[in-house]
Amino acid sequence: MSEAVMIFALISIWFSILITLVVLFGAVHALIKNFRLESPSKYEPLSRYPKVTIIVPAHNEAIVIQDTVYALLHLEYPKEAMEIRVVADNCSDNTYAIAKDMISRPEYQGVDIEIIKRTGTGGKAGVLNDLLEVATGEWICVYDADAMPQENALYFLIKKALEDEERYAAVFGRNKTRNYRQNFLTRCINLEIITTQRIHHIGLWHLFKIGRIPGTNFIIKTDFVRSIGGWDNGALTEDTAISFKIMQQNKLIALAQNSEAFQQEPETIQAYFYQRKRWAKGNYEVILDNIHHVFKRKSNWRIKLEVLYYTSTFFWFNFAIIISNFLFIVNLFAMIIRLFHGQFVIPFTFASSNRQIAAILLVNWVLMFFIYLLQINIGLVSQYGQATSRNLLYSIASYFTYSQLFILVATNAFFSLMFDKLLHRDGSKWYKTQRF
Amino acid sequence: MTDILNLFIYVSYIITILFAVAVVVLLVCSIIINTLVWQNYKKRSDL
Repeated sequence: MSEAVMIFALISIWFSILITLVVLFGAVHALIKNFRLESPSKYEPLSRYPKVTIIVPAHNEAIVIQDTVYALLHLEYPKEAMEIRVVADNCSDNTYAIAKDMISRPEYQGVDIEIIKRTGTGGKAGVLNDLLEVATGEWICVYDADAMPQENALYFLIKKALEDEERYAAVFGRNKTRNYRQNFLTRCINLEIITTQRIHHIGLWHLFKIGRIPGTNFIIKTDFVRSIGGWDNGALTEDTAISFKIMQQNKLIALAQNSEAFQQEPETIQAYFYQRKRWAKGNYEVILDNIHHVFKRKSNWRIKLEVLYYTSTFFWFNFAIIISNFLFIVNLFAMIIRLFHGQFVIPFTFASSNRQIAAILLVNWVLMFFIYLLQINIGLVSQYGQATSRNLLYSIASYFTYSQLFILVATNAFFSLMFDKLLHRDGSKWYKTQRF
Repeated sequence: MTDILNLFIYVSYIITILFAVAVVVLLVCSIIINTLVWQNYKKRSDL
């Protein structure tokens, strides 16, 4: 029995690494291709500049709103083709006043920007749905209140959208961590963000034309959102939910690799934990809502692949890692006891083949560790200024520390969602990410 | 179980070789990407 458990855990982990390698090699191929073709001058004029409604939902964001509004006002996109709407949603701080003060400056007169006070319900999705009713732009662009888009971020999003207006219902860019120097946690989050954006997003787009809308720095066709009934009010991760809706309609979410925005990441374990728990719970809900597509022959294959990917990551692979860690800890304790009591039996072994298998698996583990490091390293070298020896040391440390947090977050979110369902708790009431 | 164990050992060898090849290829790829990024950066700063 113990051998069967060990074999199950190992095969599951191998399978997860094989999936990682497929996506990683897809990303590597795309990166080499893009960097080889990259032209030094990137600012050719677009065939047209469609009108864009930029929406910034802000709930008690006084600390960061000024930088965000400043960045939006300095976007390199024709001013007459933009309308900017900053929504101070149920704020009890100075968000509204600070933003209002910012736009009253003489240099920003003539820009179509409005600061709106809102007291409605629905959180971020509620704000987006309210603005969807009055938006006059052909595209809606969403930035979180902590986002600082680079000057050309919107230009690159629109440039990508115009490549195939028929198929692309949404286009998303990349996000970078603006406070990564703060502490060990933000350094590790930075590594994770770079790897996700530089490897997973690029790999998935290059291989399967699969994209996922992030919460910020993306555009979506106004008419299309209206046709699918807008955002899910009260959804914990409205971005993942709408990504699935787009794929359901056989449309694509394209990746604009050069569109970049800076965002703030949690600086304390508590803020990190609540943010990630909300994301994990939101993803579980999306999995539950879409799992039926796996068994429907007519469902879009991208949805099937995404549901299987999410399900495997959060349930199967996570479960296998928990088992693996459990076996390791039990055996470690058994070995310590054995030092004092020579007859003590170590519970999880492969009997007579144990030494041979242990030797292979040790080499195996070292190689998996190198794959983990190389994955991060390839992400780092592809972003100018990030391939430093310090980041390499952080990536080594993150394997034993930060990466293990995912197990806690995913498990905690799973039980929290189960209790929400059993006790009919309102799980959509979410903890707002703390700003610094 | 012995047959399964033997099969498992065999698969372990294959997976280990596969991972080793992947590590070497990825290492070379990361060097290539690093070089391309620097070349592009230099081209842009020379403009």
